[in-house]
Amino acid sequence: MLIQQIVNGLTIGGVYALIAMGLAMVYGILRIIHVAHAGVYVVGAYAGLYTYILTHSFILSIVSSMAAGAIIGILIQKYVYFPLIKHSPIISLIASIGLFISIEESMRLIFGPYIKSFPKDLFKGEYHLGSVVIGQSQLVVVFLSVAAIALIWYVTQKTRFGLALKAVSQDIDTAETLSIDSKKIISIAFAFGSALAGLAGLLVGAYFNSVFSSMGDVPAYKALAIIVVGGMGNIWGAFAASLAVGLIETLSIGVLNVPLPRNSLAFIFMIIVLLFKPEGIAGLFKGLGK
Amino acid sequence: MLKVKNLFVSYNEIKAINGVSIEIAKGECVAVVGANGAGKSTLLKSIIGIKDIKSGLILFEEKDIVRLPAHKRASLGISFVPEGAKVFPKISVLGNLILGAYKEKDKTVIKKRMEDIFSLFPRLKERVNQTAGTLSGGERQMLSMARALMGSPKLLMIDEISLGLMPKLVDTVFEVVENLKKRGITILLSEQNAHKAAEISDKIYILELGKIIKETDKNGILNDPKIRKAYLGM
Repeated sequence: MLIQQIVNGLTIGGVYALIAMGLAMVYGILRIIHVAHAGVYVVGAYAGLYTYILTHSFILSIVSSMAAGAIIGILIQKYVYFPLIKHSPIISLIASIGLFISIEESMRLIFGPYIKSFPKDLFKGEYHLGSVVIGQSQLVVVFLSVAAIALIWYVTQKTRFGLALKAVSQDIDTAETLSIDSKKIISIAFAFGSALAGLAGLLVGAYFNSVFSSMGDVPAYKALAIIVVGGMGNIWGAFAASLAVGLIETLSIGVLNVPLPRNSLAFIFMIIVLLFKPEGIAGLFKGLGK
Repeated sequence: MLKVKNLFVSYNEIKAINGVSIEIAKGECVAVVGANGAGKSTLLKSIIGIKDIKSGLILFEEKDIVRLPAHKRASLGISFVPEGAKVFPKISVLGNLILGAYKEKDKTVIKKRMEDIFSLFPRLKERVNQTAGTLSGGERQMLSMARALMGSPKLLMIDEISLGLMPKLVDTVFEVVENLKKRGITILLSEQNAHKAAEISDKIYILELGKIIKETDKNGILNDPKIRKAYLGM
């Protein structure tokens, strides 16, 4: 029972990580709290769902959810954040919230206010490992999350692009004087982070077999709590915090029978962490004051 | 190599550079000397392109670069050592150096340049895996110069190299600059330390409140009583 819940907690934590790491990456570069990231996640879920309905190929669904995410991400960065970059980050934050609501409402207008599910041929069957039961959908979610996080690690730690990204997030002007095209680097980073958010949308949609226009609401604020705990711009802090939140939620509800709503737990965790390690929130206000 | 004509730069309403023209020939070492706030840093930042200009002409190898973004100017062969070193504190010394050679994709070339740099700055070799934030002030200045040199520049611009360094280190960094000049790199320095700058420069511009008030050379600066009083304190 306990092991089963740990496995479930890590599964959901891995998906949180896909969203939160992209959010942390954006904050690290532009010091913007990119609430609309959760809108990208919703678009990715719909793109993946409809691709699956049309083609019955989950591989194509993955590709289309990531592509849709990347395109939306680049559009947001080019036409919303860049024009606002010289103003206070509060203005970008408000724009981002407005954008998030617009994206969700557009999805509602286009696809209707209903919960949509995947065709029945997606992910049947389950696997037994001793007492632990893992559904096929869960296995796919775990596999893809691990692969995506390994990709993030490789890209940020081992490539020339990752090094340039670090340079740009530490000092844009100096990076420019070293012939680094900072705008290009930022666009690529946005595309990359947004593709992962799109993928996360598809994975959650497939895991819970439901896609709906307001599915981004909870991830929007939960991912925020996660990156505050992880130290705002720190993507590996966000990764650790995501797994922690996934585990805490699942174990509190499934094992400890905590009588609180599941979605409040991330925030209780955030408050407890900040009481003992306030660096996260300090980073937040430093960013807002700039 | 570099011509700046009638340059105007302002911060909001305040004029920082007020009609400056300077010229640097290939292989020369030129210093812009002036007090704090005279506009030296602004001049260098406008040449590399991280400060927008109001009007004027900047020609690099006869090509107008005013409309190019900073990274394009850098890839034409202009390197910049900013005031206060500005190394990337969370990146290793090695990473900082690799970033200096960002436009170069050939790994053997990068490796060769790095060996060359280590012979110039042996101290950096010892610290290659440390993050740059853990270096001392002098080491950061060395790293910043080394990083600029990794781009194999035609023109090296150094902003306030001696600022905040202890006198012994000031001598060391000026020795390095002289060394680079001997290698044939064209150099543009901005300095408050007029005496030191005069020793290694072929030409000196005196900048006061955003205007060039005098163009001179080593002898000129040492023999002009007004300049001696204002900039050398003797």
